[in-house]
Amino acid sequence: MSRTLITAPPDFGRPQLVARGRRASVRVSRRALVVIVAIAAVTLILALVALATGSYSLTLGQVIAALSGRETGIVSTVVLDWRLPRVLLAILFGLALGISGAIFQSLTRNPLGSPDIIGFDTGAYTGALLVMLVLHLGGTYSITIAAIAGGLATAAIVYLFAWRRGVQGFRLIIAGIGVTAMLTSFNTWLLLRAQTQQAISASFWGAGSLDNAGYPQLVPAVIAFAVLFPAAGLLSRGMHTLELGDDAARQLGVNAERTRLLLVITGVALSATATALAGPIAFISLSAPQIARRLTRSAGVGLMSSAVVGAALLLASDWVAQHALPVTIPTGLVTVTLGGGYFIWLLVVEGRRR
Amino acid sequence: MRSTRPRRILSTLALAAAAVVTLAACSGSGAAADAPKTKSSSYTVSTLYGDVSVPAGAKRIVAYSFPEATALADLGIKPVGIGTYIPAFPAYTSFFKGVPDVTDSSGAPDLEKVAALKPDLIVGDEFETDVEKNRGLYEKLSSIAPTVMLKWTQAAGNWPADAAGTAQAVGKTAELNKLKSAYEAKAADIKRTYADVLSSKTVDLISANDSAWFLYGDQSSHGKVLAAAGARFAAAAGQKDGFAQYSPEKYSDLANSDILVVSASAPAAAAVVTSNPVFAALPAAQAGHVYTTPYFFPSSYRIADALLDDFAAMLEKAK
Amino acid sequence: MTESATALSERSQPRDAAVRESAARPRSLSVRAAGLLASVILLAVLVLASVAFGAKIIPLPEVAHALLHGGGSDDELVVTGLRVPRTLLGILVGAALGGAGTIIQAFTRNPLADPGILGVNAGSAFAVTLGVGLLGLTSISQYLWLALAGAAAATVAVYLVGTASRTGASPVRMTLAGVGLAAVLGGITSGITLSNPTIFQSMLSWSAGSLTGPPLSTAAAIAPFIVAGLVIGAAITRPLNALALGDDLAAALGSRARLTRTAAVIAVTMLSGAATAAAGPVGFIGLMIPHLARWITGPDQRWIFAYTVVLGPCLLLASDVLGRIAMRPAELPVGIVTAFVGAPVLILLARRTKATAL
Repeated sequence: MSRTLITAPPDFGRPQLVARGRRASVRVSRRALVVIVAIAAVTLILALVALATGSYSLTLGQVIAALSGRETGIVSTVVLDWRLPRVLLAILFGLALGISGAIFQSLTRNPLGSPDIIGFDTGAYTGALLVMLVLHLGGTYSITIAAIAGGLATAAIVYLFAWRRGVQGFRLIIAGIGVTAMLTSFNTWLLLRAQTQQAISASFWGAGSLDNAGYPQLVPAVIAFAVLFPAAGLLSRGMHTLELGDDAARQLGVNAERTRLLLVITGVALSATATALAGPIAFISLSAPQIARRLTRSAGVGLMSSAVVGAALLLASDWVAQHALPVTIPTGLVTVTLGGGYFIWLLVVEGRRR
Repeated sequence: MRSTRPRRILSTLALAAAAVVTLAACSGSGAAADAPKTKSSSYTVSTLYGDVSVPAGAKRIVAYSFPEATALADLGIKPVGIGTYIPAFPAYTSFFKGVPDVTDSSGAPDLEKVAALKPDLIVGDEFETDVEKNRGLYEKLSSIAPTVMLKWTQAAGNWPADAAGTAQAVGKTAELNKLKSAYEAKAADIKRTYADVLSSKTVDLISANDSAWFLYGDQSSHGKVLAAAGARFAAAAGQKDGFAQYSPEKYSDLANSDILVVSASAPAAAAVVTSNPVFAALPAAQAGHVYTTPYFFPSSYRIADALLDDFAAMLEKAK
Repeated sequence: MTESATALSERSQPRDAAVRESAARPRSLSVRAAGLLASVILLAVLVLASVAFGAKIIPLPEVAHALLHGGGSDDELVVTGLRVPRTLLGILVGAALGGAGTIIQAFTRNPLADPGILGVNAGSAFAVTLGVGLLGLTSISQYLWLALAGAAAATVAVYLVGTASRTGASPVRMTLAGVGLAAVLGGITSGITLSNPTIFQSMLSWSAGSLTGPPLSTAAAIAPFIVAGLVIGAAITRPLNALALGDDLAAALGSRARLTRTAAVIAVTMLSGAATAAAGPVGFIGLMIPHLARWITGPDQRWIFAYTVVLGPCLLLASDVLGRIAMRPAELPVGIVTAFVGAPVLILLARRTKATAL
């Protein structure tokens, strides 16, 4: 292993490009490409609908005029300053959660091995709460960093608990559910304890909400994702190779341990960034890769397809949370409810199939 | 953290049940008591974010938090939009009937609902956990209409300053001062009339739910009113926060209070307190000096005035 | 990633893993009886602790005086008026949750089953929230029936989804179905409470799992259901033993599997429905206690059930006492404490080879 560590860097980059070119025809099949483009188009339409819906009524024409800079005043404010950042964040977080889910489902080789089930989200929330309620730091950056640290720490703990001569899918999930339950308790205690002196504003954020979406959240999100999205793209080949098994991966020139570690870090960071800025939004990372897999009729999960499906799902959920019910509710409640239903459906369908 | 405050929903919710939790504390820079009033074409108001100039003669006012909404009601001005929670008070219930709610389920003002009402003035108090974090909301509201954002403290304890700021924003400081003088006169009158009871008996103010009870000090909205009428707190003496939370086992902490005022929507709703055996054994309960008042968060001079009447009646009985 | 969703149930073969795992350790009658006696003594100690410790610090001699001579002073009233009734309620709820866990683990042959994990508590909570929110119910005697109906519906739903496979029920599928159902119901419940401030307030302490309602009237309302549930549970321990051997074998032995399952569902419904109505959703007790009992006594449902009825209250009372002193002068709801102490057990179980060949 020490040998591969030393020799890996030069070996790692070169074959990757070649291989990617070669594998592209395999991975991104024609059908997958069509699906990706179609979902992206749906996302775009959803985005326009979201931009045009709200208590402040606007016509599609006004929205388009505002987007192209032909409107000023309040119409421009509503579209560009309020609705647009929320729509963009929903898309970005959806992409991030979709990719994160695909990475973990690929690594655990289990459709349930996604960050929300395994509990990274809750850990990220714990990190954010500690910073807000115990250290009394309120800045977006310190909260984001704490959430990422919390997510990574939880990932490490869950892996440690699940590790027994290797990490096996189901054990990972159960360890995740257990750790999630403990952290949820701990989070509740933090909130209740803080309640008498301090804020509870965190409890609504706890349900996962894009209510605070604005440019102050958009900027750090864009910075983080500008690094993480390309990183995920570069690791994509290694990820698919790992699915063939460590030995096969090694033969193909992929350093299995290092690639896995990089994937874990990228996946956790994607999920934690979204959680830090919006609170835990469950089930997107669980369901997006599986829905994408069915749509593309591929054997494994794909990063691109999972990402666009994630974006479409989150955008649609956020629209439902804001406009479909008599009252607005946190987006996370919509995703958890829809996702739970999807989960049960998945079980029933998979059960019938065998 | 210079100031914190929970989301309004909590207070709203809690309040609605008149049993509640409130939240929020704040300490940021305070709103100055009185700001200079300029020409009649605009008024200058001291707000959390400095002096703000608002147009005179605003017709469409959105008051998204209750201290400001009730202050406007006292001045006879009907807002075009209010928050979900308005303290239970018959006059307000009818006054605000049909006025749309502009807050969301978390109690924050919903920008689009506010904007859709096309207001020419927005008043309310801070909402987020600290003044700086709150600035984003303030700036967004300001893009809709001139916005006066005032300081909120735990348990709405800052209501007199919120009322003053609201009056400034609508150029009715003189009218508000009349209400204020009447209130102060009544408080002074009670203090004088019941000087004997007040000097011999201590008072405490609480509310409760199944699993906890809350003690209010002179920094809470209603504690402030009772204190103005000469009430001396026992358990809550020196309590810096507007409220503190206790376990039902700790009702015995009220052993030194001679008069207990329970804030509950109706006398029956106070049962959660009075049915507790530890509470029932308290000296005040044994002596029959437990009184209920429906006024929770008297956030305006008119409710405060009604609470003073209630308090006077209690003192009369406790004589 | 070729295994994809098939991984859902791929590793579920040893469905009676829990039974097999402990089958290695049968215990003699005297060991079992001694263990049960020790459990009863532990319960007695915890009952005393529950009476002695709380948010208010009361010297032990005062506590003893209150118990022996009744209440006079404030301290004595706290003991006799609050802690004793609360302890009583805790015993009932603890026994119900422990018993429900044992039955549900036995009849689903799922070592990870628990009324919380399987969504049964979420079903009750959902039904109660609807009742409080839409029908304006306020007292437990009114919404108790809803809690029972919710528990029954959730139990049946999870069982159906868990068994909706050609390969039959598997512990993994059922656990996952429960997690999914709990997510759906929990999401809708939160949505309802958030959108209705009045419900939010009245559900606030209940929804976290707490013993602080009016304990005596609550205990009186749920006692008949819990006693009935425990009696049914005790009556089916022998058939459950047979069921543990697998349906085919059970049929051969003359165990009427269908009848046993129906009785088991009724018992679980009564026990977890009544417990949830009284204390809100309290998780993990039903998960941990049966394992602890099985570890002490070996694989005989009759003994396991007897142990859980004693050990369930032990865990609940211990958690409640912790919750009372963790946040003085206020209190922490017991459901939060049980999750915190119970979750590590789940992880531990998942790490044990045989139980987790799932």
